[in-house]
Amino acid sequence: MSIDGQAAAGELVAARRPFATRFWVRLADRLTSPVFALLLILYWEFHVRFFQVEALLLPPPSRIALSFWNGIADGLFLKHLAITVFRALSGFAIATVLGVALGALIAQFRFVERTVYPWVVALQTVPKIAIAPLILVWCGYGSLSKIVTATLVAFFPVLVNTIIGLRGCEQGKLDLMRSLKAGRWLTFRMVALPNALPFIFAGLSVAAVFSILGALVGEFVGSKDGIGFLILDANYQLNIPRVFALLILLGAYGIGCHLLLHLAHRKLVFWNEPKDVTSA
Amino acid sequence: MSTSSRAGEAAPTIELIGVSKTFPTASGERVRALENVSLAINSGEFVTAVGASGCGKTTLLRLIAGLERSTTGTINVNGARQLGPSEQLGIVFQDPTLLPWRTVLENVMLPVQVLRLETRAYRGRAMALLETVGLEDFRDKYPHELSGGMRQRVAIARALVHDPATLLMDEPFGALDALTRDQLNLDLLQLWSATRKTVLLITHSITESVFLADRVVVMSPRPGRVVEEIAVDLPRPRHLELINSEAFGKYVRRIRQRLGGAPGLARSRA
Repeated sequence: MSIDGQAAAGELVAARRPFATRFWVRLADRLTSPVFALLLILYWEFHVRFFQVEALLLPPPSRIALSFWNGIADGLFLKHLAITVFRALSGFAIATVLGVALGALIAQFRFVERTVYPWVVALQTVPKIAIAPLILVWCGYGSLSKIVTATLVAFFPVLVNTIIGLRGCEQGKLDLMRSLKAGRWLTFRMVALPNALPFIFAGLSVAAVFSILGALVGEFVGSKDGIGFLILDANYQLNIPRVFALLILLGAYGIGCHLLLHLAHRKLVFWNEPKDVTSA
Repeated sequence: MSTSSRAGEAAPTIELIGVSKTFPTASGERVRALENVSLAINSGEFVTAVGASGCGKTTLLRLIAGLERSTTGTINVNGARQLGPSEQLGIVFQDPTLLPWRTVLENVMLPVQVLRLETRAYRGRAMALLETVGLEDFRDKYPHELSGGMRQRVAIARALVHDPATLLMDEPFGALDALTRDQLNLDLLQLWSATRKTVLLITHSITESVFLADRVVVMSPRPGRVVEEIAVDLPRPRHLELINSEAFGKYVRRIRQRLGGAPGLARSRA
């Protein structure tokens, strides 16, 4: 009741304000975060120039921006980004298919759970970065080793979320299907799977970020192209502005992935608001 | 329905003979939920079962629905031994258990789909049922766009869409506010008089049990037993004013007396 009261009072105050004031209040709300970032960047620029910080340690934002622009303009960044994104998305796609399929089998059949699940968990406890050199030996210097690393890293969040989602189906819904003499497959298809979609999407959100991570790790271990290669290369050449520019590029890609999945979630799982997932 | 009837005298739609149910608990003990329950419900009858929480009412309904197996005793539905879920029963659970990704109409059509009945033939029936429960304008809405009372109306329409002979209802209005509950009780009676289904409704509200029923089954807790069956001889159609009448009050007092000091019982509900 008190919350309602407060909300009502808030509306009343808002309504009493003239339109112009409300406009500025709303604009200020929207702008605080970008303005904060802008101030930080300005201070960074000022600090580096004024105290003459070595560009090797911390380049000024202006030089990072210039490097970013040059990388985009001569097509180098986008060429390598396309390669890395291809690897990450391939891994993501494979991880999605395998994760949902195996998750469904584990959730549906106790036999599969007993035989397979302990080993899957054991695999998960091994840091994938530690296996990456081995995968390079097995799968070669080309794209395959990167796709495999990306798949391995992205697979687990999809699997776990699929299992949790399928297990989390309310007994009432299962009783309803049972009272109608529905078989296992029909109950899975009509109730359990759609019911698990919010969880599966949360898993996909994490997997999308993890897959780019996996592709990068693969490229760090050994590659002649891709963003991971470019970062290492720029690092060797002590081209620190370019390293920063590439990090910004990766950040932009990550945000893009997140937004796309958020949108897909809202369209496909319209009955359930997406929850923000911080980690796997 | 008449296939199983013997000459002249029809067999009860639902018949329980000496039914008991024990559950194993986590600590290894066995809890007796129901003990030696015998009950017969005739075709077209509206029976309510009333008792405190934990008296095995829900277990009783789940046994009849074929969702649980009884430990001892026999359950017959339409003259045949109950061995599992049957399309001859429509069930309304405590929660509406609607599928949130389906529209109202799609939810009502779920049994038709699952039982592989002819969609085209039953679509009209689903629409008619939605009209009966007053939701014909909401058929393309999703459950999260409806109020609690509306959702339970959809659940009732869904339970009836495949035209089962019997409707089992497990505290269907327990989660609703008093006013909505009264309205749904009236609507349910109207629906019942129009369709003449056999109804078994579980409730912990004494008022509700008397208002709806031809016969009230009073149950005692731990282990669940039938204490008494009370025939309610009140005129139909019933209106809410009936609740304030002396005759109605007599039934309520008698049931409350029989329930005695049963713990956890909702003491009063206007």
